[in-house]
Amino acid sequence: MSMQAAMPIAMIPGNSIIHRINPLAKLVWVVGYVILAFSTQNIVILYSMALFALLLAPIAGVTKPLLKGALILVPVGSSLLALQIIAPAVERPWTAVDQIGPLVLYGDGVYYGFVLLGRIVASLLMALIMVMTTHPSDLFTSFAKLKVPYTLNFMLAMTLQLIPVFQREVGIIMSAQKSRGMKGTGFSAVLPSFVPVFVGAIERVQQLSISLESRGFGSDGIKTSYRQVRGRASDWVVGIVGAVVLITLSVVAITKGTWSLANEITFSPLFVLITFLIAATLFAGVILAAIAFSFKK
Amino acid sequence: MTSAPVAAAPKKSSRLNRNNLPMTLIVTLIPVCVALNIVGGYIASALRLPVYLDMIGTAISAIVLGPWWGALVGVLTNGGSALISGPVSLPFALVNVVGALIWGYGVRSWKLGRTIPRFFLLNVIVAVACTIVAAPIIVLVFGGATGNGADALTGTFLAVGQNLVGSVFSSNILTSLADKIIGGFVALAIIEALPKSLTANIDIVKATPLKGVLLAVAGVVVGVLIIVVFLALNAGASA
Repeated sequence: MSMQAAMPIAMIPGNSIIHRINPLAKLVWVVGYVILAFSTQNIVILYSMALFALLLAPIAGVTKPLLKGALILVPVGSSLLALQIIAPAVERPWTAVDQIGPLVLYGDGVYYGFVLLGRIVASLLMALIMVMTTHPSDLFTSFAKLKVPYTLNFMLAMTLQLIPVFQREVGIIMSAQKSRGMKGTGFSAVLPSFVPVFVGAIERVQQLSISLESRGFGSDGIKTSYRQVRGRASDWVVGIVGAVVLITLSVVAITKGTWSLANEITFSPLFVLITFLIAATLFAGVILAAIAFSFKK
Repeated sequence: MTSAPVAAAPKKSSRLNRNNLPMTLIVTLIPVCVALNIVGGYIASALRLPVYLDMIGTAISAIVLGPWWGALVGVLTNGGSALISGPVSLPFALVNVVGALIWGYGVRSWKLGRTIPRFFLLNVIVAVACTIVAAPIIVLVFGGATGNGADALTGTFLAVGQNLVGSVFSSNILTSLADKIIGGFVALAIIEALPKSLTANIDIVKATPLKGVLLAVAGVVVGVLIIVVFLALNAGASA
């Protein structure tokens, strides 16, 4: 069984200007993006942030994998918009603009739906740019410089290394079980596939633990890293510019009470109806495709 | 006369924790449980199951190592997922932490792992607690959407007049009950297969075949479905 489709998003090797920026400077941008995205309800700012992140993709040479990674937003984005149009997460009274069967469509939810979607899109795109252009070891070396406990750093780094190993192992174990007559899908396959993967992994950990013990894992000495991460003047500039711009915008948004443009932007009933139909059709399509895939073979 | 040297009582090493397990073993077990949480979701989708099974590593660590180690696994699971696929999953770390604390304290302190019915009840409590924490996060961060089939159920509850939080709670409790009960019993089967050195101090019942559990899960889910549909219709009538 191939698990390639489920492989997590990983670093795309390259030597672009974005790849060469210090991981901490990139982290400042990601954290700043999340803070600003959740401080404001201004869709101009939110979609400008998303556009800026999207513009970085060709510079980093990660446009295709980025768009592929962003596809995970299709089901959640479409159902988010559809649900917001039939039940806005804003205070009543709501303005009904149309009705389809028992579903009443409200114009108030469209703006908030786009705000929620913009937050997720902007934060995700910037985070993906960072993940796709940063070697995990460089990130953990940078964490160590920030005095993050090396035990925690080790656990995070080991997790990221173990995921592809376990995915490969799942494929091997499931193929072996199928060759013994196990059903490849459904609840009857749960224990024969989960138990060997988990137990095998945990038993092997005991050897790794002895290996760590013998290498003095808990000792107090200074820890060194094979990969060196240096902070150049340009990295400082990128980090400081990111921090100043994003924090300033967040403060302005908070002082303006989320800086919402809900009263300035109105959506026509036709736009609400079309948005709902597209979102609902897209979501239903995704769900039906998933059901059809589950009945395949 | 000189007294014979008496062997000193073995001093508890600072490298051992309360479980009498070396710290290096815990430091390596935790990433394994985190990775297995993430891979568990992939296995569930590969087996085409309608549940997530992405908290099995949390349950195992909380029961075998202790509730707070399980909570750490929960935080690292969502932290690790954030490093892999963006920060949208970060708020759900809270759900993982709550699940870990209830599984850990439930088995180790409240003795809810001694019999199969008690363990079943523990998983129901975990499911309800996880939904109570998850529903507001889903509404605040995702506007009620999760991107899976449960959203169709949320839409149905909304259509009959239930409010957004109530609809999200109603659809989430159904998936959560199935997920946490099945996940809990899979964790039980895995714990039984672990080396005795890891599980010697845990007072927990032997695993049971999943078929009986699935029947019980179906019964509970149908029962809860009837209740939430009744509540939604009542809410719709009074609105």
